[in-house]
Amino acid sequence: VKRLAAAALFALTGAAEADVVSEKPDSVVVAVYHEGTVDTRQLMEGTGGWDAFGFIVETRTVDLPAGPSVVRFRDVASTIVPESIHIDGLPGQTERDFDYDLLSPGTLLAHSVGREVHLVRTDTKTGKETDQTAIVRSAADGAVLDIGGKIEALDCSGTHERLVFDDVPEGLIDKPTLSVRAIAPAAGRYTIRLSYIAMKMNWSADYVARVEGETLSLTGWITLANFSDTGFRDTPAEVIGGSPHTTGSDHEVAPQVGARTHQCWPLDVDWIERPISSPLAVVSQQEMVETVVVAASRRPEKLSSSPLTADVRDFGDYKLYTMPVRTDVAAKQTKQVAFLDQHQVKFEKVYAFTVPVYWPNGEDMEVQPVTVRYRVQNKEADGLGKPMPGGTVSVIDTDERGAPVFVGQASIDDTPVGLPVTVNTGEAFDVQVKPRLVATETTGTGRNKRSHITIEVAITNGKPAPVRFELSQELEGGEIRIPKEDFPHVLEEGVARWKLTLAPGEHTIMHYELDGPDD
Amino acid sequence: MRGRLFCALLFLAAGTAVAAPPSKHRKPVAPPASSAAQTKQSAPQPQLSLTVYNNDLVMVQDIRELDLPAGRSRIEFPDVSAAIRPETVSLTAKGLSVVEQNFDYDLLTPPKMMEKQVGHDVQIVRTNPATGAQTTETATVLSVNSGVVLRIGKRIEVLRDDGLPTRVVFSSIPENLRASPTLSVTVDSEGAGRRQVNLSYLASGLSWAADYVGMFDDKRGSLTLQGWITIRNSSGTGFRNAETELIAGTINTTSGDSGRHYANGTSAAGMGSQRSAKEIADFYSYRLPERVTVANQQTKQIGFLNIGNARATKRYDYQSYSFDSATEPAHATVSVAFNNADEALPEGTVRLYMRDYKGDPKFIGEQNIGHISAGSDLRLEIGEAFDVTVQPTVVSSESRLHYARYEMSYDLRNARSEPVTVRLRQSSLRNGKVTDESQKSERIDADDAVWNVQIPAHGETKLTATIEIDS
Repeated sequence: VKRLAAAALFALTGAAEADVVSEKPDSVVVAVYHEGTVDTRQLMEGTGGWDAFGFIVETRTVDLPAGPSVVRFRDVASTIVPESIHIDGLPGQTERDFDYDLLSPGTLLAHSVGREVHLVRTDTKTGKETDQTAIVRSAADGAVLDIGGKIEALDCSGTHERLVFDDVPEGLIDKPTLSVRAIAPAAGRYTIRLSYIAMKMNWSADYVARVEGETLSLTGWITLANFSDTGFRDTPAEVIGGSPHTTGSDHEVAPQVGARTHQCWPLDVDWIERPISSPLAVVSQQEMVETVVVAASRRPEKLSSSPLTADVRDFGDYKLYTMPVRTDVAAKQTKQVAFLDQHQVKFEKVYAFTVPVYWPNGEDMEVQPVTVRYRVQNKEADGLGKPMPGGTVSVIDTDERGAPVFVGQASIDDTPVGLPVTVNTGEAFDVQVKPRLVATETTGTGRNKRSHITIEVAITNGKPAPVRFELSQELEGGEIRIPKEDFPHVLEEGVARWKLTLAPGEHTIMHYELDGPDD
Repeated sequence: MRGRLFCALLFLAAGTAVAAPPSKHRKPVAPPASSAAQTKQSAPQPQLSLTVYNNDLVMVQDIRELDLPAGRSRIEFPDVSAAIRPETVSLTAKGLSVVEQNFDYDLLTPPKMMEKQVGHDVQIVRTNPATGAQTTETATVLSVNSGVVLRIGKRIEVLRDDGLPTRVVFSSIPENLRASPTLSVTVDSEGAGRRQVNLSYLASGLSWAADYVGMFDDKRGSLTLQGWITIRNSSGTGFRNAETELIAGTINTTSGDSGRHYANGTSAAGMGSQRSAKEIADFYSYRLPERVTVANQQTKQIGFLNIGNARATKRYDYQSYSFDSATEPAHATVSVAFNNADEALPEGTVRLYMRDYKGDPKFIGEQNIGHISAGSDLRLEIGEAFDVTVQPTVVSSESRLHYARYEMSYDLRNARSEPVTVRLRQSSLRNGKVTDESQKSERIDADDAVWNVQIPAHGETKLTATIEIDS
């Protein structure tokens, strides 16, 4: 509050404000955020999303005089969210403006309504120019000029004519500009850090798990996407793993670039009779706002699998991944960088089947295919133990002849150290199950009515190798009990699970009973 | 509250007064020839006052001195906001009665000008392409339908049918065609002379919000909060030296979207203290102490609050809304709790940043808040903890008529290198009892029990609890 009081004193004494321009940052750090898990294919098709953005930190040097000044920051990212700006090291910040009334042929003319301009005509025969003073009477849709009391429309006559302006109307600028009012206690060189959110950036994570005999190798890729038209060159790039909450309503300012439009009286003489369009159709000014749609050209730039991987460290309750080398995050570009390269990771390949609570029409089921489940424990002892941001895991296994086969992919959530990573891929047809209702019995009446059922599951391993099998039974919120079973189950992931190993060609039958309310 | 904000904003005085002038500084030129003798072009230096609402609505009051003749005259206001809602215009002055009010948006464009010229004469200037010699003829415009048909003497021609350069010179601008949509009011004045005219109207394109940037220091357990009033102007018009009042609250308007929608309710404890007398009136108002200049296409931010080093603590939360098993662990929610001491916070958006290992600020989360009165305990949910997860499992349960029992087990895991405490909240207790538990719970209300569960670094804790519900 004291500092602000000093500021007020400067202001009230009416000291002139110095105009200080910071042309560009000395250095920039870009950190890319998203909320939740982003699918890379959707990322490539999208434009960034409302809950994904970059966080930019610019270091700039400015020379400030003592007292009040207006510091203009040029060359900030075009997708800046002005409300998110935070500036370190700039003393006495009181007010800041983000201006985006941009200079264009349209705004130049629109801001000249009522002002004097020069109308220069060129005689095509002689090349002679004539310069007349004119007042712009309207720029609503084509310019109407007042030349010494005679009214003419610009560019409707077929003569070579152009407008020449004495100066740029005040308030029009070339680029959106941030200006901050600050009050320095002493003149000197100040190093300031300008931080802000910039929209239209996103990232995603992808993993490739390659089965190599008894272990697998796991490679992680980060895809950085910059859909904005601001590029960052030779920049330390970072991504934030985890899910910071966003309001989803942050957005960049969208300057309305008024296009200069020319409308003349009908010039394309049409000798064929056509229905006349209603002259009442008034072209509203909004409709004339230029819509610039730039098709994003994306160049997925896959770096070769390099031993350089991103550095990861804790940032609060998130993970901060720093790309191994300074990188160019060019405008309209996606880029992939390796961030994880783990070898000899232990894994489990199990065949799994889950028995539902509700049987279709109470009848026997047909032979059921089983799911192939790959499971890695994210532990250092198992060759991993790295925080894994949510993304898509693709599994590449080998077939009987040892050739690599893509077996499937699954999406994973942010996975901290200590938790399993499970990928359920496609169905296996040489391992089969056939569940069967052996007996059903109901006891009690009304609300106390209960049913007891006995289930038999026949499991066949048609493979020439032993397989691990997981049979799971849904329990419907724990209301179903298992009074009898061949061997004890474990309660895991909300289901009762029996784990067994089947020898090559083994056919086994297991039984269990369920007891639960009948409804 | 208003007093505080007033004080806080006082330092802005000279700052705003010397703001860059908007585009209104133009060379003074004569008014357009079309202005009829009876028409008054209104003076360009009005006394402006703005009441800005946070749902894209502004009430503009424009007070200006006008010299009016006795009897009927027309006043034009070409510099009113381009986003005016003409049906809301009201003009009052002593000894003045409004006869008629028009909002003309028939814009002056070359085709419109030609259409209005039908039946009238124009000058046609032709240039001989071989010699460059100019000939001028008078022509009557017969029609403007897919081409301009002219009568020149006894000849009928189509304008520029030969594609040769042909200039058309008009002697005047047709009446009622204007460079920009213009408000005109026809008044009946009791006598001639200068008088103060008060014009007010609603317009869109201007809105305000409060935005906060908080720098959280986890190690020191402190938070620094800066508050900014953000005024966004995309109305097409700049407002110069306007006395400005900001209104918070939802004002019902008939035109579509009314303002912001909040993703989360304010998670402030001590809700009772927030119910001040002003809240009953459904909105709050803040007056900026000095006049403000807001240019068109500008986002202006005015600092109004600076809370330094408030004590702030981080908390992990997990809430289970029902008695269900989860197939996958869920991340605990991280929140930052602090007390805003003696500063009230107008509703807005709080963005929290934290410094990384290099000292650079980085975003950690944002949340919308409602109006928070001074001295409230405020908790902002910033995000999900990567390394802290909770997975509930129903070990067994039974439900009968008037009775239910749930045996729950919660696996809490912490991959961080320091121990953490998770505030685990089980809802849906419906007046039931916790009959067995591995650690003591706190019953915060009829429906909810809370366990503060400690999890060692790189470790896990299993919490078990049995809940019995008689109904």
